[in-house]
Formats: sequence, C-alpha cells, structure tokens
Amino acid sequence: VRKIRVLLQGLSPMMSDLLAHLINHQADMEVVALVPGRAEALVAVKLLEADVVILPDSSEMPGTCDVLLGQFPDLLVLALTQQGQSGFLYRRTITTDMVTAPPVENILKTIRIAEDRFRLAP
Amino acid sequence: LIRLRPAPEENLVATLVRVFLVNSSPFFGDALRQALHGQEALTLVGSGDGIDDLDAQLQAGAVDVVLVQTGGRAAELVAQVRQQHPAASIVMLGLEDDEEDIVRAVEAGASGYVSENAPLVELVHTIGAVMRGEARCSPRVTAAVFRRVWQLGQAGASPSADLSPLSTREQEVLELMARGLANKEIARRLGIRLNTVKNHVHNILDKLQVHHRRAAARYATATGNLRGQAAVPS
Repeated sequence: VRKIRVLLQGLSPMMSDLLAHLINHQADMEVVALVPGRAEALVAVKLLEADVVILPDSSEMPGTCDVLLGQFPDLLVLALTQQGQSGFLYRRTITTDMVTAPPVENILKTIRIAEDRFRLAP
Repeated sequence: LIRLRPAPEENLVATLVRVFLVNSSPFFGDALRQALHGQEALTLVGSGDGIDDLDAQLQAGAVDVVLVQTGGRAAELVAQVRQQHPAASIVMLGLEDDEEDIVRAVEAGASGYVSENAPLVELVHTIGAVMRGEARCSPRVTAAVFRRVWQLGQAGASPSADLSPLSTREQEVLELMARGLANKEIARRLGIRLNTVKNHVHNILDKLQVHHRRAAARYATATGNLRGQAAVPS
C-alpha cells in the first residue's frame, strides 16, 4: 500500500523531529525527506514523489507556495505557524483553508486529504 | 541536500524522568507527548498554558523537571515555580531564540536551555544533565549568561548581594536556620529572647520573599551566605 509521502522544508530541527515522529507513527503516511529551502524542495518533490510539503508560515512562504504549486499542481502545501498552533493549507484547485485546533489531529487529517487524491486517481 | 533523521530512541537518562511542560501551545504538548511515548528516558506527565495543574503535581512529588517554553510570560512563570518549589528543576525550551528572555529566565532560576534549533534528542540530553546537577545550553546562550554575570560584577554586585537587605543579626539567624536549628536553640546560641528570634525569622522570610524557613535556608546555601559553615542537610 502506498503511504502518503510528506516532505518537511525549512522547519526548525526540534519541530522537524516532532512532526517526523508524529507522521512516521501513522500507518498511512511517512516523512520522505527534510530539506532546508525552496530549491531543494523543488528537487525533492520530483525525485521522491512527495504528496505533501510542510513548511513554516514565514514571509517567504507565499512565494515558495506559488512556485511549488506551479510545478506540481496536485501537491498539498501546509504552512504551520511557529509553534504549530495553526496553519494554512494551499491547494491548486481549491481555495485556502485555515487549519485550527486540536492541532495534532487536524494536521494529520489535513495530510490525509492528499490520500483521497491518489486513491481516486485512475 | 536531503537529510533523514532517525527518531531519538537511545536511552540517555538512567531512570524515567517525569516532565511537565508549561507555557506551551497544544500542538507542541501533544506532539512532544507522542514523540516521547514508549521511550524509557522521559515521560510527559502534563502540559498546559499556566501552572495551576503543575502546582498540585509538584506538591505531590509527581514531577521531576518543569519544561517552560520561552516567549510571553516565561520568566515570570519560572520565577513563580522557583519561589513556590525551590527544589524544582526548570528547563527552558526556546521556540523563540531571544537571548534577553533566556538570561531573564536563568536569573529567575532556570537550570538549562534547549533551543528549537537543536534536535529533539538534545532535549533528552539537557534534562539528563539537569537531573545530574549539571547545566547544559548552547554556546551562544552560555556567552549571554557570562555577559550578564560580568555586568552584575561591574555593577558591584557580589555573589551574596541578594542577601544584602538582611542585617548582620538576621544573617546570623539565617545561618543557624540553615544548619537546621530550632528557634529555641537559635535564641540560646545567640543569647537573645525567643520572641526576638521569631521576629528575625519573620523578617528574613519577608525579605527573601519565601514562605517557610526551609526555603530560606536553601536560598542561603545556594547563594553561599553561610560564611564558611557547612549547612546541615535537612
């Protein structure tokens, strides 16, 4: 069974470790790479066939989001605030959603949106 | 380019350390609890915004280390925990790397600092160090703390300056208190009346802003105010 492939970009080591732990403990998803910046993310999404990119909600984020979604229209981009209290989900075809508490469940639920896409794909 | 980090599974602390997280976001608390789950070094026994739950758990002896996230009223929370539970071990967790904030927390009584820019395993190392009576923090934070100590030195503060509000007689009383002597015995030794000793003790607690004599004694020992006399362990 194909798991949802998640890429973490530009998050602090502590946050990356916590998210990687959380995601890798789920049966249906896995972290495929941790990358520092946008350029590496573009290469890694293609190379590792990532379904979801999680990045910090910073000033660079909207630009990164445009570039990623421009090249990979099926990708989900999840931008988290500093402490992960909330975040934004970016999709090519649908508008932006606000992700709210309780955060851990919500982040996992949001990542699972990606699964519906490749399950439904012909 | 692409770096995969293994989950920190190594057992780095000898016994299970019970950690309580305060000043934290729900996500961080949940994620940390899950990350530490099933691992034998640390367990997260509670987390929250304030210290109401923590207070009861510390009272019951159910918490070994208090983990305080930086930001907001972090230093205030550290001071509050330290004052009410002088023996508590406090570790700062920096989601925002503000040196001022960290130094303030150290002044308030924090024993260690872990940055968000460190991997999760560093948190385990730092808590292990604090449990062994060591302090562990990044070289940058160490430099900030050194600078602060230097500033205090320049300002003419001595290591026991915190006790300067105490009169000579009060310092004598505190010294005997720290050695575990009862008021009656202190009165006999100093050749003063019992009521006078009680007044001194009251004033000492007031000036040090602590609630009981054991806390005052611990404070005196910690600040080296015992003039060469070894404190009798209580």
